[in-house]
Amino acid sequence: MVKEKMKEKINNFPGYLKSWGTTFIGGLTILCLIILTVIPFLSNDLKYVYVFLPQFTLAMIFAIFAASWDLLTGISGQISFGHAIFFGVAGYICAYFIDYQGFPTWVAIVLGSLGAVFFGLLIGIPCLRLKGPYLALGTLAFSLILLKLFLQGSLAHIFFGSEGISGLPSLSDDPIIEYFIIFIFTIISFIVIIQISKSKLGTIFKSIRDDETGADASGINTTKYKVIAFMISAFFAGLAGTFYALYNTAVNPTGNFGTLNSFFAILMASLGGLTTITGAALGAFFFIFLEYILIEIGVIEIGNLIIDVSLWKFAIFALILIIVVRFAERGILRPILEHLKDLWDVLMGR
Amino acid sequence: MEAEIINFLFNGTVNGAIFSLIALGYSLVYGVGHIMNLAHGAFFMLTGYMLLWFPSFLPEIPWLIATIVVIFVTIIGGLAYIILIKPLQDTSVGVVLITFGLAFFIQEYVFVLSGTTPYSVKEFKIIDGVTKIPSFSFINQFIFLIFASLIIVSVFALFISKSKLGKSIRAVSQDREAASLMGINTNRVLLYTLMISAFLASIAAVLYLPAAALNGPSMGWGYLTNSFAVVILGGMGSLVGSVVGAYIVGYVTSFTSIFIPNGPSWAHLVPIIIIVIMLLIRPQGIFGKKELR
Repeated sequence: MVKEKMKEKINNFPGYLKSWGTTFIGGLTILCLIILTVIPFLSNDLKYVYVFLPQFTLAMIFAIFAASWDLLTGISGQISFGHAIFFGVAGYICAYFIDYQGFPTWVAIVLGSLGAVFFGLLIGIPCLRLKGPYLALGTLAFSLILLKLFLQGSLAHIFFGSEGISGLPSLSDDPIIEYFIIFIFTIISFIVIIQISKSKLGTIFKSIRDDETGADASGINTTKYKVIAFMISAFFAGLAGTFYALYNTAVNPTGNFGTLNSFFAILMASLGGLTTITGAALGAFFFIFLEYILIEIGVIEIGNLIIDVSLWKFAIFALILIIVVRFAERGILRPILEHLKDLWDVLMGR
Repeated sequence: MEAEIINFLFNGTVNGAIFSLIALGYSLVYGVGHIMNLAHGAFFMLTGYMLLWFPSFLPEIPWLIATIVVIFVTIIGGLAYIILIKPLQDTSVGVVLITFGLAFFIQEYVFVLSGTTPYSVKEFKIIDGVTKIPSFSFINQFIFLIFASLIIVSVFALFISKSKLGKSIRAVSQDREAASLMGINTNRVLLYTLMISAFLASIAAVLYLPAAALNGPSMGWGYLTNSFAVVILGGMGSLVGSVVGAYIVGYVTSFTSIFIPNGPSWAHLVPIIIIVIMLLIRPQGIFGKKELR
């Protein structure tokens, strides 16, 4: 039965794609994908290729990361404030295997992501006794303590100290090829995460989020599925973490483990709106480019007042997070899409 | 060896005194309003940095500046409740997200103004110098801190059990709906609770930080983690549990950093180990009665 369904789907694939492409969401997605495919070839300018284009690469890495957080918090309802753990651990494992064991990059990426999954299991088991805000604080405590352990004290030298590991090879010397590698992985990750959230597994996750007692009473082993949610989310966070390590060609405690990374995931996913996986991508692009713009603006002078805007960037981000959570609980992606859709319907004369 | 034991006891008591002040407010807010305030550590850190900033535009009278700073932070705590937490208090995710955002905002604001260099605010010491008992020397400010903390905790316990506001706080924490039916303005009680909590955190900072140092804007998180370990150990919302838990965590941290090889590094792990062990064997904490929710 399932096989036949699959066959049917595969046979009808072009038609299925065509009908999806004509829907509003599908059309918009395809438009975005086309724009992202064309962007690397728009200019040959050195600054464009080596400075501007990597911002897109970075945004896509953070899009995977934020989407993985959204899968855990938005879909499964397990609030994690320590997503930087998976991000950092995977980056460190990847860097260690490349620099000290001479493993090929791709093997190291797989090992890094699997290491993050293992950490997801390790942290998931004690933390899942916690619910709601407790879980948030528990995971936050985990990430803070790992950061401290890596950063300072006499054990830090085992973990390569505050300098971390540097001199990693990047994914490719050509920024355009690097861009496309990350682009393909981003698309695959998003398809997988969205399919998971729509599948039976995703329905189970949502049922745990909405009513855990009810889910338990319906015969769902909630603990098992919560650990699974943790592991899947950790895998994608780990994937993003390894890419981030290779993007920077170095890992260090504050850059990879910092609370800032957990903050970024939360920020990006909340801006787009929780439970909309694609909102994470919107948030990632918005914040990476806002950061880029603020750094580009640099110092501004208003009369006697000299303000270095780039110093204020994270304060501005935090303010945006506060405003979004306070005034737009659903995030900004869905309302914008709804308005656009109304406009679209009017234009199409429906 | 003898020196180490005395050192361990003294440091443990100091840690316990400081943790009990911070964790008490944190636990109170959770117990009364089920509000998980992630900005609690940031209030502590902000107080320290205000002590650094305020002397530049206020008359140089340490106790006056310290009082103004404490009042400031208390007001910020109240404003945080009115503006940010109150509209969102029905959704636990919203409260956690917004207090996290607030903590980050305070941290980055401090970072912009003061950077990450460590500072000292030692002119705010209430008692200077050290006491030498034959061969050991104790920092006077810390001795004062221990007694001050004990007095504040006792006054607080009296306040909660005897005063009218304390009684309404207890009523709201037991059953919010019933309390509001009895004519208690629950929102106002929660506002006062948050202000008391910010007040305790900032008193702790005023007493402790002049003898220690300001270790950069991110130091608040460490105190937040510790108070979380304390309340998990003592039982969420239990005030006795918070004080007992604070001293246990204090002594364990001090023991680890003095007697175990690579101690200071392992001491960072103490809170998380306590959290994990407690969750595995007794998730409701030592003094907790209700099941962990």
